[in-house]
Amino acid sequence: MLRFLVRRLLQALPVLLLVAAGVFVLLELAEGDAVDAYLAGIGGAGDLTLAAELRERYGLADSLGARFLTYAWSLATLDLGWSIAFARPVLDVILERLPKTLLLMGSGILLAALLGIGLGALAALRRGRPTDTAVTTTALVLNATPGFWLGLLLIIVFAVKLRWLPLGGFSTLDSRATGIEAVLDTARHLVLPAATLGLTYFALYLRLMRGAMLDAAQSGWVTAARARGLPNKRIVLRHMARPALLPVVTMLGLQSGTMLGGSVVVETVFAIPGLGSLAFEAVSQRDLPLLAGTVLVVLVNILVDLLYGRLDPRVGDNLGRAAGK
Amino acid sequence: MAPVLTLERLTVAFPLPDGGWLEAAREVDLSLERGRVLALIGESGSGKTTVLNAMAGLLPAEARVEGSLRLDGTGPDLLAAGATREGVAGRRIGMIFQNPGASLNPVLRVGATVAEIAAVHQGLGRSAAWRAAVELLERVGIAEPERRVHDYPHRLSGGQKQRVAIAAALAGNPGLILADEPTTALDAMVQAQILDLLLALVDQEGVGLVLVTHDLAVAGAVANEIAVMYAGRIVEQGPAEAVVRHPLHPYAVALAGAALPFGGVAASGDAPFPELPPADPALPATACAFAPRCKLAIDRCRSERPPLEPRDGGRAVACWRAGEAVP
Amino acid sequence: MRLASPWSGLIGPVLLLLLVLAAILAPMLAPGDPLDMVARPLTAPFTDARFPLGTDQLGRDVWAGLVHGARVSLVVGLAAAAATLGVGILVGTLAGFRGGFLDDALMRLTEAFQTVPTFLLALALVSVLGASAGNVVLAIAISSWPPAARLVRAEVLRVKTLDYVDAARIAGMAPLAIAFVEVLPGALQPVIALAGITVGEAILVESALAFLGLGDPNLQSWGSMVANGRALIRTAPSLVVLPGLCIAMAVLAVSLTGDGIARRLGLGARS
Repeated sequence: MLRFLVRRLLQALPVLLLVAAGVFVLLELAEGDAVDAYLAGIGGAGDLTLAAELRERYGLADSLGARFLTYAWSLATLDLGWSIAFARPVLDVILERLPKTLLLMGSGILLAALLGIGLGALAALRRGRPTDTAVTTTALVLNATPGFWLGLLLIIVFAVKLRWLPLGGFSTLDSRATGIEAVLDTARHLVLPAATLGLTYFALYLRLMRGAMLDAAQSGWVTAARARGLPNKRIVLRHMARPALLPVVTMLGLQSGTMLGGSVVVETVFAIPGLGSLAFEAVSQRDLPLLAGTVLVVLVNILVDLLYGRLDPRVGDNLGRAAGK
Repeated sequence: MAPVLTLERLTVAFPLPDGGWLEAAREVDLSLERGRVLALIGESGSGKTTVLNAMAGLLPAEARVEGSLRLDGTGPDLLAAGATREGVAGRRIGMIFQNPGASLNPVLRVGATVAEIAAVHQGLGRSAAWRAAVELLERVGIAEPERRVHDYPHRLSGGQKQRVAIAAALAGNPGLILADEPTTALDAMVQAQILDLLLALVDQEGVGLVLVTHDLAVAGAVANEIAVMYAGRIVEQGPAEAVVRHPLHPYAVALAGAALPFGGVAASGDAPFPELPPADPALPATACAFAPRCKLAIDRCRSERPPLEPRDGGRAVACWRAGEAVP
Repeated sequence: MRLASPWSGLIGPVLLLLLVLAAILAPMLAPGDPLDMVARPLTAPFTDARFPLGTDQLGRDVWAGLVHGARVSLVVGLAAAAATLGVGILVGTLAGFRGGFLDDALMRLTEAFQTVPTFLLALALVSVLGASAGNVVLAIAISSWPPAARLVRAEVLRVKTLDYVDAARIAGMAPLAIAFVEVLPGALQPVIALAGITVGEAILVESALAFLGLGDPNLQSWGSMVANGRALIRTAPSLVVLPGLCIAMAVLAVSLTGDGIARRLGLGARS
């Protein structure tokens, strides 16, 4: 098993190198560097001496090859360095933001999965009936809805009109709440963004679950379970839903990348200082160390996905099917 | 003692897309005592699996079913409108399928599959049901049952899977077992082992076994009685040895011969929707269905269907030229 | 997935037709530049006959923005989808047909692109290349081609073993000609099923980029209209609601239409 893992890791290596190199090339293509962006930010765009000094200090005056080596070395040694834009260690910035994004994505995926599994099973059991049509149509429409717009609609309804939930942010700013109150406060802030992610992404799980349930319903073991006299509820739960969960659960682990993309928009809409918006800032600030740090987080995520996907041959098939639908 | 199975005048029809009906089984009578084996044989589409599924309560809801089915000579007619299978399926009728792999839930340990049925039908608790599963696996000849209960189906061989499926059929202590081509998907040697196991269960536990097969050799080896089906009807019925050695119906003669004179026997009878051999449009509906393929067919066969008539030795045959030598 | 009633197959094409008409007739339906200030800011919808859907905080006509936005969404969406499928078809055909090292290299490249979250990559590309309609199309194509490449490769692998391809080889056709003339057309059918989804995704990515301020600043896009209306969701929610509705409608229209076409060709998934 260990040898197998090591071999998979080595196979994933070229992919990781390509991604890392791609990010570097992308930044080289960009006009201006972090110093330009920083100076523009503090209103000192014309100060050439300061610019030269800063470039010297952050190694931006080095040759292209040297800079690439520095970048690759910092990735390989997990030494994340100093963020020019935030004037803080990159690790600090990332560690501050990562939990928020993880919490947001985690609750978003959980909601999407619960909705997809529950409604997918329901639609399969009511196949061709009005419930099936209503559920699949709703998923189809929500899947076509832009996340940022759905988020704003939810804000209009639940924060502006009904005033049930906060407009945005991750916690109430001046709150000194601790313990259970702080948790509840964060949970209240999470409801709308998590709902936005969950509602826009559950269609995939619904499709997978519905199809797998229909397959299971046609299976020999369900016929056998009926012939063996098992109660219908048992058949649905143990012999249809349980096997049908396999492809859905497998897909869960693979959706994190897509959701990371979605979380950029959702974090912007709900003013959540998370990793998605951090990546956006790193690119627009040309902050290479910061970007390298966020790329590292993405790479870890990719690595987990790759290992996971390679371990289970069915995953690749499902991915292809999901992409092809 | 009353027969464990009494099936009378079973007719099953499936709706066709054009609004018509396809009669897959017509006026089928069967009867079986405990401790005996009845083989239902015929080629794919002969209606034998339809008859079995009607008895097991596995026909699709849109099928039209007529006739009556009683267990142990008493109790309600299980084919009557509104009849429930609760307390019957698994508890009084056990079913074994052709493809043992497909009949086991792939995400459940085989012990859980068997224990679940024992729990439901015998009202056992978790650990008692699990012990019952170990015993059942031992009874069907699985080595090291304490270890095997923890295996998932894909870890087992085809023969082992079929043994587990037989254990699952026994878990509710049924008096009647219906087996649909239980050995067709297995290797020749494993086939013999599974047939031995089924026979041993019939002998030791006194259950009645209905065995659906397309293989006359298998039927002759294990059955006490044979019913030969063609195009949804029983065309010949009688003690197994007599039917195998001296078939009376030309179709049974063909089955008993090395090969059929018309392209051979189709592999299996597990098609979900039974396909009948194409009907000859020139033939009236009242004709003998086998006439177009029969070397002995005369004009009468093409206009008038022969009824299933009793013969000596507890036999019955539906043919105007029964017993005549087939060229 | 499919809507059940018999006329539901028409919903997609009818919606799409309306959007296409709006896009084509935009200069007649709403003459002038939709970015011009034409009236008092924040005219409420349905209060002024000249500006039926009202105006935004800069006095720009919302109706004009919506019909001109249809142009941006459809043109960018279609161009990006065409480029996406084009790259995918090229890579997939070469990888599948040539096999060997080229296949390995191209598939590693495909995996590398596929593992980076599509939207993050598009975002990075546009912010680096600069916000213009052409760059948006380019960014969407560069970030979204992998699924098409994998699909085409799988199909090419299947088709290239068929007899007629052998016949072409024996007849002495050049390998590349065989790949693109004989093999590719046979492998294209599933791509048709993918096309509707690709266009829909492209429209969504374009609108999200525009929402984040990375759309073409010279064009009125639905996404940037939503972004503009965001500051006023308390007082003028229609500035957010209307353009977003248009995006959802457009995405739904293309995916339903694509699905319907795929179904007609007998490629659709089971209902």
